[in-house]
Amino acid sequence: MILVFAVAIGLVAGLLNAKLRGKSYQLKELKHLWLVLVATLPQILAFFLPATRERIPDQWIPFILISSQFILLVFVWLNRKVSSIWLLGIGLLLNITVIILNNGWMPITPEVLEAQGAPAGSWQIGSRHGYSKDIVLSKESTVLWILSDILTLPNWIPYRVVFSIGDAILALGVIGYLLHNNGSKQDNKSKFTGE
Amino acid sequence: MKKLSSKIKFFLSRADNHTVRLIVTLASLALFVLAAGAPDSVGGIGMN
Repeated sequence: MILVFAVAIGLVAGLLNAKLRGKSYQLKELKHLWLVLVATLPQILAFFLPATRERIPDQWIPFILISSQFILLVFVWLNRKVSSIWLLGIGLLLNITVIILNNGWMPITPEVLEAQGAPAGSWQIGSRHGYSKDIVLSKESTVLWILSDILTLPNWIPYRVVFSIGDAILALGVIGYLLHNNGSKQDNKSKFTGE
Repeated sequence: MKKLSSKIKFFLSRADNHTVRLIVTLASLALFVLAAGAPDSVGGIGMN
């Protein structure tokens, strides 16, 4: 959910930027948006909807996650000429690499969970953490630990979340895309546009 | 359901094409980051 905040931050920053420059807010057009929906739908069922995620066996998760993220890679490739989309591609590529190398799961270590105040007994080494994309693995058992969920927010932010370098780059990519304005000088009738 | 559908149609007819495109793009970006990212909400707000 924290990455959705990046979309909100990028939108606010983009609108402010457009207003300060006296331009209409106009984004570069993204092609093949339907691919995003196709890629996301299985993940919504597997991770986000309580009614369905409880029924999907953990053995299916690696296949769902990897195939879904490959579809997103295709989307990124088809839009590679759009500014900042390459950053989304790098973030996605880093995440998918560490997920593939760890049998289809994003690793998280017990140390990180403990440091973030995860209730004892809510996790077990070698098992999925809740209904997330994460599996709890020791640092030694994790392949490419540096790309796993190791980053946290500063303590003054009262929201406990752990994310990867790939996630951070995804956030930068989405903010960069939304900040980049293609708009022209504003005439009185123009508003923000999504083209 | 009919009422909801007619309300959506009414909104879409009022909103200009560019605004609808912006909303679709933003929704797609939100879905993209949800699917491409893998953050783990450990304890929710106010924990620790």
